[in-house]
Parts: sequence; structure tokens; C-alpha cells
Amino acid sequence: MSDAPDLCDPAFLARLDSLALLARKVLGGRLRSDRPSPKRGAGIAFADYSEYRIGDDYRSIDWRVYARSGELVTKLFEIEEDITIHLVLDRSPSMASKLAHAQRLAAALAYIALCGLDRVAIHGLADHVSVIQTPCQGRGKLMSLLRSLGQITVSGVDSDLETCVTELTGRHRRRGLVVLLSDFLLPRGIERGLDRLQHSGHDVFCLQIQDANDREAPGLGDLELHCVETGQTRRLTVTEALASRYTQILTQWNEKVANACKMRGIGLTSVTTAESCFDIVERLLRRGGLVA
Amino acid sequence: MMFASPLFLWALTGLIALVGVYFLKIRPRRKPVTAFFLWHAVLEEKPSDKLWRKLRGLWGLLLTALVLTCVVLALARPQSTSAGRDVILVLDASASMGAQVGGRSQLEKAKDIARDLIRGLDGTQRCGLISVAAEAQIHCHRSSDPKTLLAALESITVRDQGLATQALDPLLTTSDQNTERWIFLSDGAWPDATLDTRLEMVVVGKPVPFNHAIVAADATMAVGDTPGVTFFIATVSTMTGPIKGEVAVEHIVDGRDLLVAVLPITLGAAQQPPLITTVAGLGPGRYRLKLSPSDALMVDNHVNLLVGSPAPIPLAIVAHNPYFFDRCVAAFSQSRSQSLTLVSDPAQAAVTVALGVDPGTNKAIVFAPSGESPCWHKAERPLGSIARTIDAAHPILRHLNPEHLPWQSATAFGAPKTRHALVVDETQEPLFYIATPAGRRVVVVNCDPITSGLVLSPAFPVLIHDAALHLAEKENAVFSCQSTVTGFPLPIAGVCTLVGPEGQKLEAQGHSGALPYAGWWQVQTSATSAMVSTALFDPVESLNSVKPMPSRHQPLSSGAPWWWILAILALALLTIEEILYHRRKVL
Repeated sequence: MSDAPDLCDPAFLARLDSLALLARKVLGGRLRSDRPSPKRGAGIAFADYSEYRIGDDYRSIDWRVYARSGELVTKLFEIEEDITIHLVLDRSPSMASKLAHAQRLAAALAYIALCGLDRVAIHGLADHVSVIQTPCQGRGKLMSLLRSLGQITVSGVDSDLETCVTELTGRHRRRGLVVLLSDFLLPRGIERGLDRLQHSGHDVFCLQIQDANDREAPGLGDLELHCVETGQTRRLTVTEALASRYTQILTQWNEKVANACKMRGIGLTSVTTAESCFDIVERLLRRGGLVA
Repeated sequence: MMFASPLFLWALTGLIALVGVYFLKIRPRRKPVTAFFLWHAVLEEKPSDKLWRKLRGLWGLLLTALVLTCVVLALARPQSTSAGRDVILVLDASASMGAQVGGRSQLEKAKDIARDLIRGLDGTQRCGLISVAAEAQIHCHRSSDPKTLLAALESITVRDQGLATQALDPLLTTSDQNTERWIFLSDGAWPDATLDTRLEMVVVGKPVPFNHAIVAADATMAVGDTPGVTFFIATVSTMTGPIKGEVAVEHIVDGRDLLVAVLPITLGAAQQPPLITTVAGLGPGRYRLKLSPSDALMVDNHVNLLVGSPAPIPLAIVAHNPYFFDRCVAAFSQSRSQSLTLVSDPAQAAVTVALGVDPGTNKAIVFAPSGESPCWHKAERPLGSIARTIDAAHPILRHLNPEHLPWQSATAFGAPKTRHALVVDETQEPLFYIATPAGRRVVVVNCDPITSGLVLSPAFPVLIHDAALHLAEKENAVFSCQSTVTGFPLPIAGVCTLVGPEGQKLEAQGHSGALPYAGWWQVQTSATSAMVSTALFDPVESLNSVKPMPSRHQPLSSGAPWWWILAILALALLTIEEILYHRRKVL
């Protein structure tokens, strides 16, 4: 298990500041470059035209259209609404070696969100959902959020995404952005969980975090494999062929996860613990944020 | 089955510790994995190896236990309780075993077989080592210690002698075939097809492809107008057609070999006449002959020769009519042997020849005794004329038939009490005897050679010559080279010490006996010494090295002993287990 990171470290916070600045520059301070709201009303961003009805505001009539076509139409604008960004951290035993990295990534995303005046909530995912941080907003909540985030430890004995998502969506009915930080090595799969999230109206983004222990065989020769989640063991002799086959199957699994996200229009970024969390976030921001 | 060192069997209790250590060692390392369900998927694809998985740990333990057991049993030295017969190894050490075929001598190949046989002893068997050439020599009595036997084996060397298998007869008569096997390791190079049936014959090595040899050689000072050394060289060869060879003659001066002549010679299987040639300008000294072309057996290609300076015996004649005596001595002084020479002053003579009078010298030959002398006395009646030889082996009579000499002229003089009779008359009165009064040695021949006509007989000069040689103690002629096979009469009387070419020492008296090595031998007493040259001179040994006898033996159990097999098995099992374990160990 990796050591709990000090997310309140001034140097770390300084780096987070620079990321927030980048987000402001690139994405206007948001985590997504495009976050259309289905609601129409008084806003800034143009959304659509609507037929003029008696009682509509004259100022919203698009006179240019009238001049061209002779028809009276009104402009509709997006109503900007602040959403809650739910950062869901997989804290199951399989994330033991990656939890610190996930915590730093979550801290970076939460920092940017809070700086952009979005609401942020942090949840733990294992065999059930645990509340790490209730929805909070504003930079004043940053330090308590970071402290709460830093105190996350591994718990639970299994990872069941569907069950956890059911719990989560039951608690938070309002649409938001759900960022899943996990290794997605979930025996029961992720499809049903993602479907449920989307059905609940949430935008979903997946951040897959894996390390060398996940992607390669633990060694060659006589081994007793021990599942960190279920505690099951299996003795076997790992040959080079077997190790290679495991790597192939893991790659196939990751491709399956990627396909599942792609088919649902869900963004997925796969990272490893070898990469710096700041580089990861920076790359995300430059790409347009947490987009598909 | 019994064990020579049963205490080692207690080490088998280590198996208990081995089981414990082994299972601790093979306990696999525990590795946590995050995607256990993916490993399931991998293993679902693998064919089922349940039984192998169950036994995997046990196979290695079984192999290790077997290794330990083999090592312990090897240390305990298991031996068969069925008593094997003792083995007596007889190695042929004759000259032909020194032939180099394939870079190694035949004796070395015989030793290789002997080593295998010694190492194949099962611990209860004993082995003895004998080498045989002209005589049998025991190198090691029956022993079961391989170390002792191998050390004794190394001491066997080739001897420059022919093979005489009958030399083993005294040893074979005391052997018991039920408890002993006699194995004869030889190149089979002897002509006699019969071999004692108690000997099992093992032919070693390959036959020599061809061989030439000098089987007789001599050298003397040449007389006449061309001074030099005359060489006599007789050769044999296994090659059929006449081939050109040559003999290099080297003169050994101050330890250096100087090539003085190269004599062409014809070699071939057919009887070739000996080469007799005189090399002018050479004098007395030591010479070496080297026969070319080279062949596998070189000991018979080299001969050392000793050419001595002529040393005639000075004779003085005391007779009223010395004519015949003078002519006789003169004839010998002018011959090749130059054995006698005439001097006028008896005081300078080694031997005095007298007629009818005792010359009074220490060594004399007296014909027709008369007058006063301590060497005879007046007989009461005349001596008879029918002679009978009573010491035919005496050197003076070697070339004579004294019974045919004209004894009718014998005078009436008898021999003194202190005499050695050679020929007597019918009344046992000595006619021909050696008197030794007061330290003198006088050969008395009771016969007037002139009146009896003996001077006209060839026996006359022979008698004078042989008697003079006997009195001068030069009757044993030492040839320029002697045979090691037959030995030679020693040139010095009494017990002599013979010192060989490599410093070997032998004691002998009268005759050297067969000598083990060819080369220069020093014959020594405390007072004097003489040098003699020897060579192989054995056509049997030289000619038969190309025609070996066939082998005749029972199967030889020269396999490795049990402990060796167990040790190799342990090593093989350990290697298998290591391969299996290496495959399983965590990297």
C-alpha cells in the first residue's frame, strides 16, 4: 500500500494552482470545454431560435432573421447551471498501490473544479459507496476537501460498480459529472454501472489508473497467487508463455473497457502510476478536459 | 551384498531432514495480484495438469531422496558377496613390448588394460603383478589395495631381453586355478604356438608393421697393410623384398658421438649375407652402429661395440730345438687375434714354453718332463699310452680331443700329489695335468711333440694357444658386443659387480647371466674393472613382433565398481532435479 500523500503540501498546492490557471486559460476554468445545458432561457451562450409568441421579450427577437425572412423568431440562450462534479475513487484493495496516485489526480481535478466555482463531491468505491466529501463549493472548502481526500484508505473486500453506482445515483439524483478513478479490474464488468450512470443523466468520465503490477505477471516459476480483494489463492508455475498470455488477456480487458466507454460516448483516459499526475491533468486540459 | 564402510549408511537418516528442508525450499512465493479473475481466464485455457500439479512437489523430493541414497550407498562401498577369483596379471616386458605403435609403446597399452582390471576389482578380489622377459619378476604380491597395485604397475619397464614364458613355470605350479586367474598381457610376439593353458592370453596393441634388426655384430682391429677396424654386421628384416638400408658408424670419443662411416647394407626377409667391411683409419675404442631405416622397435637397431687394443701374451721358448715352438707362436702373433707374441727373455714372458726341462718360471707349459722338478717325479714304471680324459670341460681342452694325442712318447715321470689331472693313462697316472707347486702354475704334457710328430698336428698350436690363454687367465674372450639374452663369461675372476647403463647393479661370478638392458656394462671388483658392451641380438624377438599370437581369455570384468556407478547415477539424478527445480524457481 502506498503511503498517504500529503495533499496539503504547499509545493503540491502550488502545482495545483498552475493547473487551475491552465484550466482557466484553456477551458475557461472548467473541466469540460463543452458542457451544454438542455435548459433554455436567459443566458449568455446562444442556444437556439424559437417562434415568437405573444408575451416574449422584444429584445430577444432576432431582427436580422426578420429582415431576411419576414418571420419573427426569438433567440434562446443556454442557462448556465453549476453542476456537481462527483469524483468517485475506487478504494478497493486492488487500488492499494495506485490509491496515492488516484488521490493526487482527484485532488487536482477537485482543485480546478472548486476554482471554477463548481461543486465537488468525493465518494469512495468498493463493495459499497462511501462518502469522502459531501458536495462543497468555493476555494474556502479546498483545504478540508484535500484533507478528507488525503485520508482515504483502502477498504472493502470487492469492487461492484453497479451496486455502488446504484447507491450513488440514489443519493444524488441531480445530474452532474461523474469522474470514475479506478483500475477497472472489476470481475463483474463496468457496462451495467456505466449504463446506470448514463440513465441517471450523469455525464461520465473514466480515468483508468494501472501500474506495472497490473499489467505484467508477478514473476516466473512456482508462485502462489493471492487475490488482494477476495483472498483467493492459486498455486501455479508461471512460465514465460503463461506470463505473456496474461499480458495479452489484460490488454484485451482494457480494450473491452475502452470499447464499452466508446460505445456509450464516455471519455476514457488510461494512465499509469509512472506518469506524474500533473502531466496527466495537463494533458487532459489541453485535450479539452474530461470529454469523450 | 555387503558394504565395505557400513557406518555411512547412518547418513540415510538425513532423509528425514531432507524432507523438511525440501518442502520448506519449494514452498512457492506468495504474490498478490489485482486481476485474479484474469488469471482464471488464462488458466482456463491451459490443459488440465491436476495430477502433475499434485505430484510436482513430490517428484523433486523423490529425486533428491534418490540422490542422497545413491551417495550414501556409494560411500558405503557395496560389494558382491560372491567371491571372485584372484587375478594374477603377468605383463610381457620383453624387448618387443617397447615397440612404439601409434605413439605409445605396447607395454603402455598393456598397462592401460592392467589398470582397468585393477580398478574393476570388487574389493574382495586380490591381484598380483608379475613381469616376465628372460626371467619372471614379482612386482606386487596378491593385494586388494588398488593404490599399491597401481604404484607397482608403474614400476614395470621394458627389458632388452627375449621372452621366455617357461620362466613362469615355477610360479604356475603353485597356483590354484579354482581361486586364481592368470592373465598374460603381451604383444604375442613369440614363435612358440604353445602357451601354458593356465595362462589366459590377452594380446595388446597392434602388430608392428615392419622391423629390421642387427642380430649379430663384431668389430676387431684389422691387420695387414690397411690398418683400421673391421666390422661384422648381420641383420634380419620382416620386409620381403630386398631394400636398401644403411648402418651409421659412430666413434664415441670423450662422450661425443662422431660419425665416422656410413655403410650401405641390404635388408630383406631372405637370408642376407652379413656385412664384413673394414673402415680404414679407425683405432681401438667404443663404437655405435645405427641401422636405418627407422622402425617401431629401435632397441634392435642400435649396437654398441668395444674394440680393444691387441694385447698378445708374451711367450718365451726354452728348448734345445725351439724351431717348431717359434713357428707356432709366430703364427699366432701374425694372425688377426694377435694373441701370442715371442719374447727371447723368459723374465719378460708371461708364459714359458719348455721342452724336457722345468724353466722355473711361475707359468709354464712343459712338454716331455725330465730332470728334477717339483712339477713331476720319476715314475717307477713307464706310463701307458691309452689316454682317458677326466676333465673334458677344462678350458685347455675346449678345442682339443686329447685322447688322440700321441701319448706313446710319454716319459716315466709321474705327477706330484698337488696337481689337477686332465688326461690319465689306464693306470690313472696323469699324462696331462696342471701342477701348482709353491704358487706356480705349470701345465705338464707328458709327450715329446717332436719325436711323436705332434708338432705336425694342428692340435699342437691349439694346445699351446689354449694353455697359454689359460695360464694368462685370458681364455674367456670378450667379444666387442655381447648378447643380453645369453649373457657372457665375465672377464674378471671372482665375484663381480655389474653396473648397467642406467646405474643398475647386479652381482655375478663367472658368468653374467641374462642382462636386463642393452648398453655399456661395467664389470667391477675391488681390484679391477672392465667394460663390456651388450645388445639385444635376438632374431626371435625382432621378427615376431609383426605376427602376434591370437588372444585367448575369458571375459574380463573391468567395469567400474558399484560405488562409481552409484556416484554417476547420483550426479545424473541431481542434474534432472536441478533442471526441474530451476524451471520452477522464482526469478
